[in-house]
Formats: sequence, C-alpha cells, structure tokens
Amino acid sequence: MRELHAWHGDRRHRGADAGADTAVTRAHDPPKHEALRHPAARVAESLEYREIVEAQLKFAETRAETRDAPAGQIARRRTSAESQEQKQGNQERSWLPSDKTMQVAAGTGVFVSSVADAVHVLPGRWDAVVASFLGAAVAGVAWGNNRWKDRNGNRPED
Amino acid sequence: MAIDPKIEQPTRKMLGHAIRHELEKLAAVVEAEGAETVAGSIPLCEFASAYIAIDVSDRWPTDADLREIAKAAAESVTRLDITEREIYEYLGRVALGLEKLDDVFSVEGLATVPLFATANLLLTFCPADKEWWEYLDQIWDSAEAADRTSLAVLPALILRAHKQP
Repeated sequence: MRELHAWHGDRRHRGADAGADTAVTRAHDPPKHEALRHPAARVAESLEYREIVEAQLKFAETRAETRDAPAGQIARRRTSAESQEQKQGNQERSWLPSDKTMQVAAGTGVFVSSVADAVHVLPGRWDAVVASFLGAAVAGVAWGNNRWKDRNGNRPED
Repeated sequence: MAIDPKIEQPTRKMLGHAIRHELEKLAAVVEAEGAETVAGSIPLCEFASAYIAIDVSDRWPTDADLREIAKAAAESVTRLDITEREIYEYLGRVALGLEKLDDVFSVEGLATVPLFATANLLLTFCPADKEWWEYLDQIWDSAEAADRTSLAVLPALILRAHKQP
C-alpha cells in the first residue's frame, strides 16, 4: 500500500509531465507497478492481500484462544469423585520432613567423631567406625521411615 | 518458607477434619488450639493452595486455569461450605496475588476460606498414587527446600523441567 502511495506521489510530484508515458518513464517504474495498470492483475493482487490478512487474523485468534484456554492437565489431574471418596475416609498421619533426619544423622556423626578425637577416647580408627555406624544407623531409620510411609500410609491420626 | 511444626500439626489436623466433613471435631481443634495457631495456619494454607494451582497448571496459572481449578475444587466430595467464586478469588487475589485475606473476604470467611479451599484443592488434585497428606508432605518439603535455595537456580530448574520427557 505504501508503495502504491509512493507511486501516486511520484506521479503527482511529476506534475504537468505526469501524463507523458514515454519509454523512459516506463523503464523507471518497478515491474510490480505494471500490474496495477491491469484490472485482472489488480484483482489478483487484492485477493492475495486479503488472503494474507485473513491468515494473519486467524493466527492471532488461534493464539488468543490458546492463551485463554485452561491448561489441559488440570482436567487430567482432577481426581474422580469415587477416588476422592476413597481417599477422604483415610486418616492423616504426621509430617516426617524428609531431609531433617539425614541432617541430624550427618551432624551427629561429625559431632561424635570430633569429640572422640578431642578427648582421645578412641583410637583414630575406632572413632571413625563409631561415627560411621551411628550415621548408618540413623540413615537406616530414615530409610525405614520412608518404607513405612509407603507401606502403612493409613496409620491412625497421631 | 519455613514450616513451623507447632503450626503445621494442628493445620494438618484441621485439614483432615475439613476433608472428612467432621465439622464438630474441626471446631473443637480450632477452640483448643486458639486464635494464634489458627492465624498461623492461614499462610500455610495459602502456600499449599498456591503450590497446588501452579502444580496442576504446570505454569503460572492463567485466569482460565484458575477458573477451571476453582470449578473442580468447588465440586469436591467434601461438601464444605465454599463456592467456586470464593475459591477463584482466594487463589487469584490472595494465594497467588498480592492482596491480603481480610481485604478480599469478610470476617466470617477469614478462617474458613483458606482452610476449606485448601482442603478441597488437596483432595481434588492429589496425585493418583498419593494420599492427600502425602501430597501435603511434598508441599512442605518443597517449601523448605525452596526456602534454602537461591533464586539463581531457577533457570536451571526450568531448563531441567523443560528437558524432561
């Protein structure tokens, strides 16, 4: 469209010479502008332009619809009424923070090792053994808790 | 967000009673625990609700997502006295938004809306292989993990989530 205006503008700019359609002026017109002089070509170009505009509008509408549509997984994540009723009746159990037990285990192991080193109660080798044993024992309890949680989720309320 | 076990335990009990529609037992826990504990349970409920909304949307929830979530939660089998509209407003404006609960709801709704909305959300969107309290464990664990983690890891987490098959 801008090119069309530019072309007209160019003709207006030429003023009195605008009507002079000489071989020289035709040679300077871009080939695209030639099409505008023929009705069939103009219709074809107009239709092509309309198709482009319609395609762009359709694309914009599709994008807006996608943006406004709820995420598909919400419906998939929704628990059925039957399943909700099954889960509803079960008593909850307390929260066992998954990482705290391990932190305590690591902390206690380091503490035992350091104290044993400081007071020379145990030879170097033995304090490491005790610390490892304690760490392993508490880690085992944490592992057991998780297993227990998996198997006995229906423990009565604390 | 750090989870205080002294607040978490009664909150879990209250959610359990709400989910099972044991309203007399719920009232007894509220009375026994006192206003301070009940007030402390509200941020926990808000966090849990926001987590569930983001989890099930798998993105920052859009308005359409929130409407879908609120609709599903309002139809939960708990039969709690909370509407789709209340859940939608609570999620969008308070749990995921910047408004305070008492700016959005009347005094009557201050205690019940977060608790009932969270109870319905937990039961409605609990993963198939988990009980609702195991889903709550997951939410608290992630709250504590997020509390200790720098926001600098967020791009790495997004990348990891994006690359997951």
